[in-house]
Amino acid sequence: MTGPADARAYIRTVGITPDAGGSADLADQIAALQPRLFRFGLTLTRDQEDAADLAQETVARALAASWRFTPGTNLPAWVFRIMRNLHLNRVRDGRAGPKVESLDSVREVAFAETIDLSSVEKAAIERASLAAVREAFAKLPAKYALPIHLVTVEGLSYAETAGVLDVPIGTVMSRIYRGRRLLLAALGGLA
Amino acid sequence: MSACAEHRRFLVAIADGEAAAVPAGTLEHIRDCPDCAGELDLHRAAAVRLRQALQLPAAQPAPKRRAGRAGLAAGGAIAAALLAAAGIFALNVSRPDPVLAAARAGQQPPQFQSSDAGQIGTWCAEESGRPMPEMDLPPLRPVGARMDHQAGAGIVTVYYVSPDGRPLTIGWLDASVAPAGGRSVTSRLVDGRLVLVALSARGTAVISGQGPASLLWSTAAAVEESTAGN
Repeated sequence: MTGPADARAYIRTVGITPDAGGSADLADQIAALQPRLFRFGLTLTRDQEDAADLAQETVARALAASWRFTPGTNLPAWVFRIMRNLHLNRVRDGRAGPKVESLDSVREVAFAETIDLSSVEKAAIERASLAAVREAFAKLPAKYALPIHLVTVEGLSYAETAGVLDVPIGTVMSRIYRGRRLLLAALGGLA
Repeated sequence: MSACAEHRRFLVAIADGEAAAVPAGTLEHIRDCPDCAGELDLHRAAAVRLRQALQLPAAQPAPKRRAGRAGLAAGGAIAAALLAAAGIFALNVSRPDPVLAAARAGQQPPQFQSSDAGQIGTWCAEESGRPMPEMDLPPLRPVGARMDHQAGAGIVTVYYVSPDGRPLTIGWLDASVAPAGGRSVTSRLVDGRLVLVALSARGTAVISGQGPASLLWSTAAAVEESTAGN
């Protein structure tokens, strides 16, 4: 044997790693996203095993499709979008559990927008235990939790988040606004 | 207060550093409105706390087996699906996972140490009682091996070091142990790390290590190449 083929050559025979146009560096960057994908997967699925499963398949899909990635754009945002689409496909196929929303949309929007937060103290938010914050976040409906996760935890811009979730920027802002208000109400003991 | 309502939805944009999307009139209003300024502080505090809470590392469990879940999706009646789901769950929990065992075996120290690929191959063949594939995978340098019987499989682990000093292991499973899927190589996460499972003519190779993903992929290519003629 003459020596191991490099990752780029391997791409052409296996079909799971980046094919022509991809690179070993890009493959490494995609693989390095796994912890962040798992974390986003948790917000998407609310289930540890489903999140790990989704993260694994997302990496495989991203590697296989890496030739489509546009250099200079946000790689995590591109991979998060793959993950979100994969999750939607699974929900449609019945391979992921249906989303359970705590309130119907109309009541939820009204509650989120009209609740009076004037009695909530900033110090109470700052002192809230991390477990309490995680619990309150876990109770948020997915449509609010997803943009909050991408912006607050992953540091994506509103425009990038809109691209991942396939909604207008204004919708991203509205959902973050309502979701954060619901979160503040929960942490402030109002909900 | 009614004036506040039309400006409030922009508070999160300011808190998130997206002020360019906020109308100038809203910025002026917030400057002069203690209620809105107070809520802006709350949004900022919530963002900080949320970031702290969610950025903590989370333990990753092993992914579910895809074949079982796909089969479940194809099921018809809800009751049947529930029964199937219960069965598959039990299967997932109880079935030994040789890939997981092989990846973890590589985290144990070698039982036999040598830099001679031939000696390592002989030791592995004697310990496992089966013919072993080519151990020489340049530019990787072999450094040792170990033999384990776990998860219903005989696992021969060969230890390598890359030219830049990164450790890498190849766990050879019995030829009868093959992951589902039909692909020659599949990837999965084990304990939060990428592991490649390569099917070859000489058995299933579980490739793991501390190096970059490209090192794992190139090793998978080398494994395929080295066993292609066998």
